[in-house]
Amino acid sequence: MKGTLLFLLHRLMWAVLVCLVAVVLIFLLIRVAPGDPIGVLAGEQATPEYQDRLREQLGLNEPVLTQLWLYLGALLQGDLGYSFAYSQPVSSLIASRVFPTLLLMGVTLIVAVIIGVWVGAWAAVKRDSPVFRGTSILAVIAYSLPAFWVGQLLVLAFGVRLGWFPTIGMSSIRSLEGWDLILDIAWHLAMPVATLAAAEVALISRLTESAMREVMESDYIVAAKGKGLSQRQIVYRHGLRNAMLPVITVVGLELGWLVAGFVVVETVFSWPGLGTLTFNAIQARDFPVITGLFIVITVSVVLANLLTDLIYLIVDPRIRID
Amino acid sequence: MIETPLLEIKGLTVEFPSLRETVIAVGNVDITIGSQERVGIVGESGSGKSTLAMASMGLLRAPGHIARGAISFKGQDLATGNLDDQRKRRRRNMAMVYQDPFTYLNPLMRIGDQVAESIAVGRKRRKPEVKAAVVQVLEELGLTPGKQIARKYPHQLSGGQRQRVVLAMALVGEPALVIADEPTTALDVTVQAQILRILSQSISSRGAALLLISHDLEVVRLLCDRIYVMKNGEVVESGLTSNILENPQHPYTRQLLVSSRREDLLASSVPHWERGGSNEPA
Repeated sequence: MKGTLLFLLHRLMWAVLVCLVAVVLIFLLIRVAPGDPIGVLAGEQATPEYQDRLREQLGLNEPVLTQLWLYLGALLQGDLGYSFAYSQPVSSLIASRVFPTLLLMGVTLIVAVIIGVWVGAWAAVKRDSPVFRGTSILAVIAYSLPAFWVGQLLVLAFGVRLGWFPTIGMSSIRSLEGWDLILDIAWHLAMPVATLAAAEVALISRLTESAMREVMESDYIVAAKGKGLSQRQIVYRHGLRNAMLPVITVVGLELGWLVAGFVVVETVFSWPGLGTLTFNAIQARDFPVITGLFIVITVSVVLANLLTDLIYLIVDPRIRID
Repeated sequence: MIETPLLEIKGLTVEFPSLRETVIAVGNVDITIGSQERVGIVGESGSGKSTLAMASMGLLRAPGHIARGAISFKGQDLATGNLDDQRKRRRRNMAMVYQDPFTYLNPLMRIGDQVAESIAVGRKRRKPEVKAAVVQVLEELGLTPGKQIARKYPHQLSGGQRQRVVLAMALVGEPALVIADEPTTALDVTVQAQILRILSQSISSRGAALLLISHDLEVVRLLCDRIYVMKNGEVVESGLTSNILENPQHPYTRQLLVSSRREDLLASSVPHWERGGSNEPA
């Protein structure tokens, strides 16, 4: 137990260090990227004098390292700067967009893990069944399709042509309450979740299948069969738990990739989350917002990895250090 | 000799087909075991003795399958129907002690839960009842205190302790027949004798029958009433243990006897039975 706590503390220290280095890199990379926010903010007709004044106001005339120093100092106090384009503090801007993204991400992950693990496990066990042979091919196709294309096809087919699902936003303009509001949000969630989950289901099911195939060949599975357990008991109690170990690792790493998917999918479906904000902020060259968003994303990915370690500790007793 | 055999294997042939050729691992083997009888199957590695044990339990790995022959338990057919149904008919009547205690225990499951599965399978029993039975069998096999051991995971136990757990998994369902496939091969020499002694005692106290698979004639001599000698998937000689050891008919049996005596000489001058230490690392 003490060893486990030390291990977690060690991981936590590394996580803080990684975040710090990431903040510095993000800040510097965005400054050296091409594009001048002053041009966007002041407009094409602005006089050089006005542009200079604006630059001084926003602190963009200072040397980059001084800017970095000021930024880090402010960051420690929870201040992510002030948005050029939205004219409000970056932290409150981001905070207002966190919930829709967390909702979309959470639902996507839950749907993808449940379907992916179920399909993968049974595809490994019922290898000769034509249904599950079909799912393997389907998985390769689903993983290869780009999200923006799948999203647009869904919008065209189920939104425009059939009119089954809304294509824009997180809720209807009508003011709803209680269950009606929840159902309305779920209805809006369907297509973005389907778009994002398709590739994730594909990846998770393939991973689970290969891990499960290996596990089902193990001696302890033979022993479980020897006890006369039913196939369901063997698969869920003995097989799946062991097969989950590599899947947990990859799903943890996958969270970083999911972020990239969010920018695309939220933009396609006009979902009012961090992804749309990222897209808009980049178009507006809104440095403080972009920097703030990247920092939030980095911290989330690092946190996700910590969480993965924690889940691993819970699932696998062998790595708990006594 | 035996009126109602517990396990009867008749003309059993096990094949492993592959693209190039079909390997016949067990060819036309007849074996009977009476109730409370102790029978040994000896032979070198590759003689098909483990395959025979696995086939009897319905645990052959694909593509291995029973090509011909019959297996019955108390007259009830075991070799037909799908494998799941076959295993359901076997459960609690027949149990197996596996060769390698390091790989036959699920690494993510507590010892107590793995043992409990063998009792609870296919019938309703109350939890405290199952727990008590698990602790009792663990303590009977020298895993004390049973309550603490039941909460542990396999990696927290030594090899000898794990093999006792494997033994507990087999015995807790009170089977009429225990098949032990080289139960000591993966263990230290010092632990081997202990495990054999415990196996022998617990089989006797339950009035169960034993089918012991081993390459070690010495072990079989100590534990078994009758012996089958296998070579290349076939039984070349069978009979009472004393007859076979004193008066082997087949040249292969004689060869096995010579090599086992030589092993004994090499190992130590102390009798095999006494070689095991009495204390085992916890």
